[in-house]
Amino acid sequence: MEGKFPELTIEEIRKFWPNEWVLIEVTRVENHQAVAGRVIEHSPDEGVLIRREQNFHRQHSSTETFLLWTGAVIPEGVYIQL
Amino acid sequence: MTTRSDRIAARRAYGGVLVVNAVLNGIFRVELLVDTAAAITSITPRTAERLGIEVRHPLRHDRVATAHSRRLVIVPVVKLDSIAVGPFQVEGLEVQIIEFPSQLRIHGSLGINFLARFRPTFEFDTATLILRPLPG
Repeated sequence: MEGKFPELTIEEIRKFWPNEWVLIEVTRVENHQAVAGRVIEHSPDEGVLIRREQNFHRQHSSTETFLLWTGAVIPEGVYIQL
Repeated sequence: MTTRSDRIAARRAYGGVLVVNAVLNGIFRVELLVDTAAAITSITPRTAERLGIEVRHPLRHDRVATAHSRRLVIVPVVKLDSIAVGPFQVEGLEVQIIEFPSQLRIHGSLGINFLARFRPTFEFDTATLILRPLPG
């Protein structure tokens, strides 16, 4: 366990850190969905968390991590046309 | 036979498109756009960086046509150790590394080279992706 925050549900994490990237140590998976975890770090910059994640995995090489954007993954009013 | 484990909870993003959780290489959980118009599954350069994938030495380069560019773009192709969506894990899936517009906070797309290994059904009203194994 490394996270400095307590175990929270993914929905709680979305509420506590809105509209930013959150790096989560996944602690509970139900029906193959991550439902809870400990926040390792949060930042508006995804790159910062990728470096933090690499450090985390040096010590916890088999622990699942989730890099989650807590806001809308597609902004309101933006249509996908790939 | 369809079981509940075939039903994969997704999230509805703006416009009703489906976004699913996937676990790459056993430990990296991501969110992927389900994209039946994409022949090949993709990940972003930052996701490749997360996975420690060496982009400078890809399997090959593919030419890709996108709706937002009038020109073909050349993208590297790499192979994942594994990708798991719901209870289904595929090993050695090839993925293109593609930059998405920065406003999109997704890690890539789940394309046909994954979906066609199953008989997929989309329930947009319940935001569910159903994957049934192919017969035989």
